[in-house]
Amino acid sequence: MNRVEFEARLNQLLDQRLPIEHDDALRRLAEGDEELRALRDSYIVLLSETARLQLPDAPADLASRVLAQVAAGRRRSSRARLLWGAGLVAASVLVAYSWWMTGSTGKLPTVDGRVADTNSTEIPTPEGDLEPSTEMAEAGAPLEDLTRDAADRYQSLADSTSRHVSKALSAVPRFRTADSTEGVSGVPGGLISLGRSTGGSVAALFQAIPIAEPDPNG
Amino acid sequence: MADEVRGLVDRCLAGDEVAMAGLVSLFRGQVYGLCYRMLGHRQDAEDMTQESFARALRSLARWDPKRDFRPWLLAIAGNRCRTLLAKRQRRLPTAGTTEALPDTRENLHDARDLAEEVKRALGALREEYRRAFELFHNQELSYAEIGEALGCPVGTVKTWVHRARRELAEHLRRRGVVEGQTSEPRRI
Repeated sequence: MNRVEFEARLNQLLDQRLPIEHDDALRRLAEGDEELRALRDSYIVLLSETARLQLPDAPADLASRVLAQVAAGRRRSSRARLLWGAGLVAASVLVAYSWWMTGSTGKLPTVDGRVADTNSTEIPTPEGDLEPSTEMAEAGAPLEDLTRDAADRYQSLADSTSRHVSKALSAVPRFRTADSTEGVSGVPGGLISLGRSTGGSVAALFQAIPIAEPDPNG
Repeated sequence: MADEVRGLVDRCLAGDEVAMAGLVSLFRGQVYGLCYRMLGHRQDAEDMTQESFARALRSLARWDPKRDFRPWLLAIAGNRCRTLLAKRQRRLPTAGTTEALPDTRENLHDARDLAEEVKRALGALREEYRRAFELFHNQELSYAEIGEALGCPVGTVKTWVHRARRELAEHLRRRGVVEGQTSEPRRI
């Protein structure tokens, strides 16, 4: 038996956790070979000393630490489940609501709660009469006059804005013509619309803000 | 033992904290031993032991009662340790985790403790060899259990343990531990 076979036998015994000191075959061979004897003895020393190696003690409070960690994990997961559940419910409600509002009626909601027909081109108007401004109502002016007055103001401001836009555009060589009105009519449609909407906005602003009338007496 | 473990597991699944503590107490030595052998660091071993038990208790419902509990638990601990070792390797790609103590002595005749010499020899081994060797000889795990813990085939574990034995024995022989012995090794 050579060294390789000797070691194989050693490992075979050790793998089965059997003592190598009492194996007759190994002892016989080791007695006749110095090298094999030294090898066998070194294995014996190694294993006896390895068995004596101390392992540090596990922490005494390990169980309580583990339980605390498990409890913390449970709290976290239950909170996460709760949040997920709440989120799911909210999402479901939103989906159901939007389905009910669009899917079931095919109509969209309006600001005042009425439902608009998406197939219709009519724009719903608010119910009831338009309220006159407090200032005018206090003056006791009839509603028709007040409405007419507001319409006139709007028209006047729109015209004025349009004139200003026209004048500004006529200063640009590209749009300048002999007649400023022609200039405006030559402006691309988008700019005209822009001018009109700006005029409308300004008019609405003036309507909302009380304007001080010039004192006729100076 | 198996019945006792199954009983404890059933109670743990029912939320019994006493049973949980009992399960931890029953296996704490083995799990801590595995973690310490794998990591070679006391604090890390404590942390991984705690983490392994917490993970096992959370996953108890997935344990198959037809199989042994210990290999399942040790596999969890082994996984945790391997994850930590991989993190360590990313942080310190060239540094080993267990450093061999410097040996300044001329020969073993100056040694006072043979166990120290064995520790030194273990520290000089490749990490894989050392872990496999210690898990087999100190923790007395089977090759299959070590394979599960280390995440490698049983054949590889066997090879590592055999090589570890040879290198350790060779180290002791070189250091003169068995020099001039006849039948019994000399104790220093």
